[in-house]
Amino acid sequence: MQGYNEDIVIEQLQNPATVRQAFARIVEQYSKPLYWQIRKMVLSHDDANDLLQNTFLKAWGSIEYFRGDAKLSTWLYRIAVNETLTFLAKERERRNLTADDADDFLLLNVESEAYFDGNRVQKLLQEAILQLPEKQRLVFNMRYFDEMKYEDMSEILGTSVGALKASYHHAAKKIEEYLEERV
Amino acid sequence: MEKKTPLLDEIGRKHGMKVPESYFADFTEKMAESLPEREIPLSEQPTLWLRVRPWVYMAAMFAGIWLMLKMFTGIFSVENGETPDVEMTASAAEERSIEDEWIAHYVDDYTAYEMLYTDVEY
Repeated sequence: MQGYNEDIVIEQLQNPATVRQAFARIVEQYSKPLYWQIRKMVLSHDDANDLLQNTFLKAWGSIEYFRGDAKLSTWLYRIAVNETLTFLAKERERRNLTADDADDFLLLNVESEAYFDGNRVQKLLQEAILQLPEKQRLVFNMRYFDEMKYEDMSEILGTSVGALKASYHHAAKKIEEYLEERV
Repeated sequence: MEKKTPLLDEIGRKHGMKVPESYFADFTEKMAESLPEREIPLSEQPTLWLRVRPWVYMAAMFAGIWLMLKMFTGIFSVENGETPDVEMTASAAEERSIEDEWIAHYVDDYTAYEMLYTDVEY
């Protein structure tokens, strides 16, 4: 299999004859990082799988709007983040919760999840992350687990690098405090 | 430089979540198969009206400007005591004909002669 070359793929996206083939390459390239980004927010594999499919379907449906001004990865991450946040908002609405409430209901996904084999501390870490506000959780996951650059996060989330650094610092501090009390 | 988070460093970056076997390979394949056909937008054939519309609008605009100029120059020339307006001349003519008609109907011959010779010096 040929290596992935983003410039070539973007060029192929503009051509109706090669657009499908190019998009398949994109799915192959980005399904893994996007899946983990979504999964760490919703915790359930089934929900993450549905949201990943929706992300790619949305991207496919609006591929003509991608002009190559932003990076392809940034564009896909933005769609994935929007899909995830919309899903979480609907789940909260279904449970009569506000955006400020901790998403403890997601913890049930960890407890009943067949695809979770973490130890007690890893489960406790997920519990601590769920105490954070939604946006802070996003920032923490991107930085802590994926070690994403602040500049890339800034492009995806539309927030300044300084604000993201502050957000990560607060999130890490809160998690440390939560864990210290329980470990 | 990021602040030290000893407990987090100790836990490490493993989250304990996993996926079904060959999930990503299967997902890529299924996704490629399930992509709907893209509708290629047909290029619209512009109607005759769509083609001439900008020219009609432009002609209407120039006609409007010409009429406005005509109206304003007419008003200014009357205010400056220049060429009287066509309407003003018409109304003056109308006034005169009313006078003539009044004389013809309500003034008898004697009174008419009297009016004519009143200012005549003999």
